[in-house]
Amino acid sequence: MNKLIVILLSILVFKVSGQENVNKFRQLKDKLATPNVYRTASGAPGHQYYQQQANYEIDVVLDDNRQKITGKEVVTYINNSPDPLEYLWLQLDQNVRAKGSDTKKVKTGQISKNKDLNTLYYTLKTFGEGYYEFDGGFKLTKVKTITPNAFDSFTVNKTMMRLNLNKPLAPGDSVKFRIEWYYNINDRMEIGGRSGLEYFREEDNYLYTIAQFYPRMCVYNDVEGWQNKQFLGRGEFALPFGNFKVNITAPSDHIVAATGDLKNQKEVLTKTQISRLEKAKKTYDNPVLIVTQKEAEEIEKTKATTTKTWTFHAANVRDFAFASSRKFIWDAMAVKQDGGDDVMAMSYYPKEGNPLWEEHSTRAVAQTLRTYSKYTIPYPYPKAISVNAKQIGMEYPMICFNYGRCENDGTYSDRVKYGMITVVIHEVGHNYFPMIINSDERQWTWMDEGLNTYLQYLTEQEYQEDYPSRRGPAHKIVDYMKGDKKMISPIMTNSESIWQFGNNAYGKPATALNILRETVMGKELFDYAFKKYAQRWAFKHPTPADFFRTMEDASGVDLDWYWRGWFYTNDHVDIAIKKVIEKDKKDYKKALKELNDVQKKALKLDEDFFIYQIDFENIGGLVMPLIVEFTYEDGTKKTHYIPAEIWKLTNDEVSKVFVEKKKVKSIALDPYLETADTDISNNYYPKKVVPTKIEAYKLKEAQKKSVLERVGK
Amino acid sequence: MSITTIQLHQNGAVDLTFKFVAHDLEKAIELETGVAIQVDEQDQLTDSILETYIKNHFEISGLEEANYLGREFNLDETFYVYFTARYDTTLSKFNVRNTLLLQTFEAQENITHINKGTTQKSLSFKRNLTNYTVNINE
Repeated sequence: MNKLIVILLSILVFKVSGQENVNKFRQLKDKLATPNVYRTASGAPGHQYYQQQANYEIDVVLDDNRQKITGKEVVTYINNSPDPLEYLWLQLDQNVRAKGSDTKKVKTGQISKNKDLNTLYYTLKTFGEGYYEFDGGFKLTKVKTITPNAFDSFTVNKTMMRLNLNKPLAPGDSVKFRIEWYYNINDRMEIGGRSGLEYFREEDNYLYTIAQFYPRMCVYNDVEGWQNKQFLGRGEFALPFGNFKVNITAPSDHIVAATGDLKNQKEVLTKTQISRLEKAKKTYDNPVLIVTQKEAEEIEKTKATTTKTWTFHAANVRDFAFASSRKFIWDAMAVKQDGGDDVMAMSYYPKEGNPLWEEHSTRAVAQTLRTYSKYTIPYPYPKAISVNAKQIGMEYPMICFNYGRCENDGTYSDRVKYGMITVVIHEVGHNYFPMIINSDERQWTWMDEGLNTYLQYLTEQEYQEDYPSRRGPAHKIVDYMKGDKKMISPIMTNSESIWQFGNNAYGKPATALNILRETVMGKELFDYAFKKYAQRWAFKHPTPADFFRTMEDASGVDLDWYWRGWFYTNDHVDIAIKKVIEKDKKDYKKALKELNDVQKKALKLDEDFFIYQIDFENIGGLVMPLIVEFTYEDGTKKTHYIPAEIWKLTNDEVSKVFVEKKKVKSIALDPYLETADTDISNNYYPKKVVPTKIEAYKLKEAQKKSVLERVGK
Repeated sequence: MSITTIQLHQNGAVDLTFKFVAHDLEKAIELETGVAIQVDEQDQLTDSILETYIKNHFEISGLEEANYLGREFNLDETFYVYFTARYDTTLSKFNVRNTLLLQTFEAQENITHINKGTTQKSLSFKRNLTNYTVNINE
């Protein structure tokens, strides 16, 4: 009998002592990598931090007759790591469109019940083997070492290529090699793509946006080793920094926009264009036209048979891209920035973008540079370019491709206008995340899309008061966060496995940062820490832990609970007022009599007081600050801000006592929708009916009519 | 994702609210019908296409024919479509089918809330889960 009790007690003790700590405020150490000489516990680069370098000399020819790119590159790869490298990996992104690419193979779908022709076309195009046989992908014609005897062979593994070194590349050494290739340019409007061509059938002209057009070095670092995870089409790129010298040969009537400084403008621009460009460099208020619409319309009527070669140099960039067309109108203006050099904002667009583009594109670029520089670092490159490209938004260093077209008669709606400004701000913003603060998008989409979308929101609001921002304010993420948990991935999920990509990688992290700034930390602490992160990791490769740690270390705010809840789980915010207990002076009549005069004076008991106990319930799982607004019987209001640490001991339910001098008429929790609370029907005492959207719509429609119309007379 | 809210009133009236991301809905309609619409344009043809598309992809048993009430577009790309209908107040069990946008988007989720009094039932529709039977009283 005694033996049995001992065994049962032992089991009980074991179970209690073995209980896992599930407190939402437990520290995040189990999730973050151990600090080391490369990355410190403060979130800064360590004293032995290193990164690789890849320099490129590229000659590329754009064949406008056959819509083909032919290129040659000499790559110099420098091993700054402490590790001998037995092989090198390069990215062959064009192979995502090669015949037999995995991208198409892993796309899932179902047969639609609709049997119309359009659905059939879509199904065959998207899923049909052999239906749309575009001959895409890199055709490598030469892969040779220049450094004597560095390698004799290479291996292509789908979107990656390995150079099989004859002997390891020692720390501090470099290797130089040559690659030659060509590929057919994809029609973006038919088969999609982040770059490619757009064909203007009526005038038989092309607009090219060319990127990922050359074999690019993979990142090798202390976190991933080689970042050679296959490109399936969603998780974008991780690239090392380097210097580029690029010669682009295009039809002589094309205008070419590209990453870097134009080095031979006298050879490719007219004297008039050079003179206008000089004027733009001194013009800070409005864009100056370098190529006018009238000039562009004249040029696009014919086709040159000769070519010109444009030479661009770019230092310390992670990539290079360009755009080319005889249709381009081109404008530019100078931008002043605090603590940095003046830089150029530019736009290239066909007449189909006007007048929208001449009114807003370059101004939106300029605003982006001003706002982002304020919150991160001064823009370090000489220019930022926005190129008009139908249907897409895509970013590269100093240049991005953005949608936004007018109707044939030149009109455009507010929707088109704001859509275009939004995409310009977003894509130009990517210059900072991830082009400069060079996180690994193949692994963590949110590190650039989320941080960028957060700053995009601030930029939009600076571009225009009450700008109709799609993402940023807390209440805009509510629909997503209260959805089925099976369809919501934690933010800390690899790019390829994310459900609801836009909400997960753009909307939720942007909103989380906005709430952190405005509702949890305060603007001053947040802005300092966020800027510090940008300063520390500009021109380096940060990881999520570097961001989380810097935000805490630089602000003195323990945010482990916030990162854990918002970034590592799919919990949501739903905090309710469960119960309110009211007491006033009369309820304490007996106790008051027993106080002495000193106590009565100290407690100011000559005045009335009212005591309220509020029981809060955490239904959604995420702990958040409590924003409690009292409305008194005289109509005045007072807001109590209670930090999230109120939940530190009990994460599910807390009670709080408030002593007020005036009688409270009603209580509202999060009255200004600042915490992304997914169910506000339980946020009020007494209960309040919140009108539904359709009720508000019916009321609005009814108000448009006179009373006689409403009663049918 | 899309959000559908069905409000069953005690007097037999039903309010239906469909919330979409505007450009998602436009893409789905274009791929299915071949007709490119702009939901921010006010014209009867767009109303008619929207009404047909939603009625083709959303059904709830026990309701009389739903009447298209109107739509609202916001510049942040949120878009609402409203219907009204009548239902038999003695019914508590409903069959719901929701295939909105599912053909177009691989990871599409259609959250559907059914509210009656203080009771709310929430359903999540996705590619492999397009039908539910729900009892509002359970």
